[in-house]
Amino acid sequence: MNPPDQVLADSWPPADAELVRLTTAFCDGRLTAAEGRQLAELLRDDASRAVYRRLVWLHVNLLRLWHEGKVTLPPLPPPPAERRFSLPLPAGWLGRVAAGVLLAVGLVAAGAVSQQAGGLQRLVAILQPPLVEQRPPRQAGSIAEIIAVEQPVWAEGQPARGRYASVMPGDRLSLLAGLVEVAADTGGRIVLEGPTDLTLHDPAVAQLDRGRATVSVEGASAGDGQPRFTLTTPSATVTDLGTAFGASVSDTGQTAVTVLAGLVEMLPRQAGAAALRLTAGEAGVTGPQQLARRVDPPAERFVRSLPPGGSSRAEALSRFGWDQAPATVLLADAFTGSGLLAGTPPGARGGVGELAWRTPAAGWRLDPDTGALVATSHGLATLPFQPEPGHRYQISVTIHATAGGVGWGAIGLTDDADNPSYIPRGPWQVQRHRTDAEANRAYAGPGQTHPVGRGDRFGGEQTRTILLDTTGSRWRAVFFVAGTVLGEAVVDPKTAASGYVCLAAFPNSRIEFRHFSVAMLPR
Amino acid sequence: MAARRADDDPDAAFIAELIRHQRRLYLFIGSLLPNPSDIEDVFQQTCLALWKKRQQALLADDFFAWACGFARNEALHALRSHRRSGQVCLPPDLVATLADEFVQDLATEADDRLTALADCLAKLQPPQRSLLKRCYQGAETIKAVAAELTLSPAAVTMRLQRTRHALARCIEQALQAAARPTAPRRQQP
Repeated sequence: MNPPDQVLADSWPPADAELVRLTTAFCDGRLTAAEGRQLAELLRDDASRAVYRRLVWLHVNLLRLWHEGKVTLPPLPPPPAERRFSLPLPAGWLGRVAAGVLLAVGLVAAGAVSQQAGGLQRLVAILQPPLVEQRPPRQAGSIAEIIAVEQPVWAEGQPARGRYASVMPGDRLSLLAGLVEVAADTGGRIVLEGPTDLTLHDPAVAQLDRGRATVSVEGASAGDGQPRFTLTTPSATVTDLGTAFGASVSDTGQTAVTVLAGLVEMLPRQAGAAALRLTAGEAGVTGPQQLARRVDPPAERFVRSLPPGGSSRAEALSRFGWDQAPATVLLADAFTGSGLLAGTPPGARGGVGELAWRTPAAGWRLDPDTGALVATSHGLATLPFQPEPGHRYQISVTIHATAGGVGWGAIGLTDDADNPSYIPRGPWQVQRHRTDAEANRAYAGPGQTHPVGRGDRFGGEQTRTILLDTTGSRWRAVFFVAGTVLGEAVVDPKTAASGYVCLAAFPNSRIEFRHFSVAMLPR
Repeated sequence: MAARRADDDPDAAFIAELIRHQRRLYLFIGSLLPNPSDIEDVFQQTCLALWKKRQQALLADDFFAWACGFARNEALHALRSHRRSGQVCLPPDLVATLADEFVQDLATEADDRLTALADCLAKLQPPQRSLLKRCYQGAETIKAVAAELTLSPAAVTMRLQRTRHALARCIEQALQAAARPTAPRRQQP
């Protein structure tokens, strides 16, 4: 038994301790197969099942309150002190819900309002006050602190550092994935892009053993010749004489440097090798047994900074190199015209794509009045699309989920055009009608597994975009809406490259789609 | 189901019934499959199945029990799928037994348990509430929460367990106190 489970189990009657431990582990998805068999054995007993039911009741209520139902009520009237124990419902609200809500995920939330008992209303109200982020004090003797993170995954054995974590001299930062920005006490900023291993020896001296890092020095100006920051790698010493540069170290120890602003000196470790001075826009490489030489700057840009809430869309697009080259449009459909969507290719109405849409569900029509594809029944509309390794794709559509009724529209990738389900299996993201009822979500897939980010509440008509990067050994998807990065996830090529791009809908009355496209960057 | 409403607009009457019972239906599904994504998936499939068979709802004496039948089937279907993919699951016969018991529990669920949960959540310290919120909001894994709080995942798990236990114990104490017979008040002169 591990210590956390022991804490809970110890507080229950000894006879129930193991049952409590196994039940909570089951609820948290931490149960091993052997423990599953043990739990099943214990639950043959009537009294044990009673304990189990009590614990699971609490777990599911907490899930529902926060994950599904907590933020689902209409805006509460001020003042906050009165809100807490009194929740006057707007007249007719329930009636509107009853008329509009059906078969949507938000149904859970809407139904919370229908509970007339004060208990649930009070629960929701209690959970309303915003939680204030607390900034922990800096550790004595530290030389830097982490000022922003974006979905960091730390290597095994590493402390799980978050925002405001202190960095001590000699601390090694081993990041498997995600982004971390460190502010050194001398004013230098370092952005690490996982996977990367960097050791900060001094506020102005770091050692990059693997991966990518961007160094910026505040207040520095190029040309005064004074070293601002020194980055050592297995094959070079890179000295920042100006303001900003990006460096990457390959698994073979080769160092590549791109100067983003100012002046940088790159000194190979090889004895007698000359230093290479690079100015803004220039790049250089060197290896363990190589001289330094100038090269063309790499297509993939370095991330210079992270806003506290995550990177901006422009930054992320830039990271993908999206702004550097024109895209090749593979598929495009403006959904002009009229009639059923099924059986019609985008090319038939001036779009791009000669293969026809498939819509197992009835009720997906082109509406000449609104110039949109209108879905009035749940299901998927699919077009054959096979992402290939080594590319970057942008998959995008505008969704209007407020055109009457309750439900959601979505865009994503899937592997089965004939699947009667309306849930895509690859990466996908959702635009809901009632974003006050439940946040829009993005999922790495399959289905609703692996939600990405915290969700968003952008309502109305929104363009939702998935950037799929298949250039690395692991495919990545970045989800955008309204100029905002929702999150980034590793996706499974089995489902992401399984044959179809899809629009999905779960409408009560209608969901509208416009401006669908799939584009690709050249190699 | 109210006969008059059903006569006027059977679909609206069905929706009203579904809204009235969907919280318990969600709890019922969650009781059988505690994983959040499973709950959401099975709940949606159940709602879809109910909608397709909504005409039968007019004939059902007990809407909740009728709906739970569908939810149970969908949950067992998901369970079979999980077992095939090697996920840790309870045996189907045990899930069926639990389903019967949960239906009874939820059919007789009193508001006082929810009220007790409200009271107990209100008594939690802000950091405890914050932790519950982060862990139960769905998007954040224990590892991500740990990263934000600059704690180890094991430490977050421990705090979460402590908080949940405090809640569970608080609820039971509140219910026991409410069930205790109160002393008769002294008559005022």
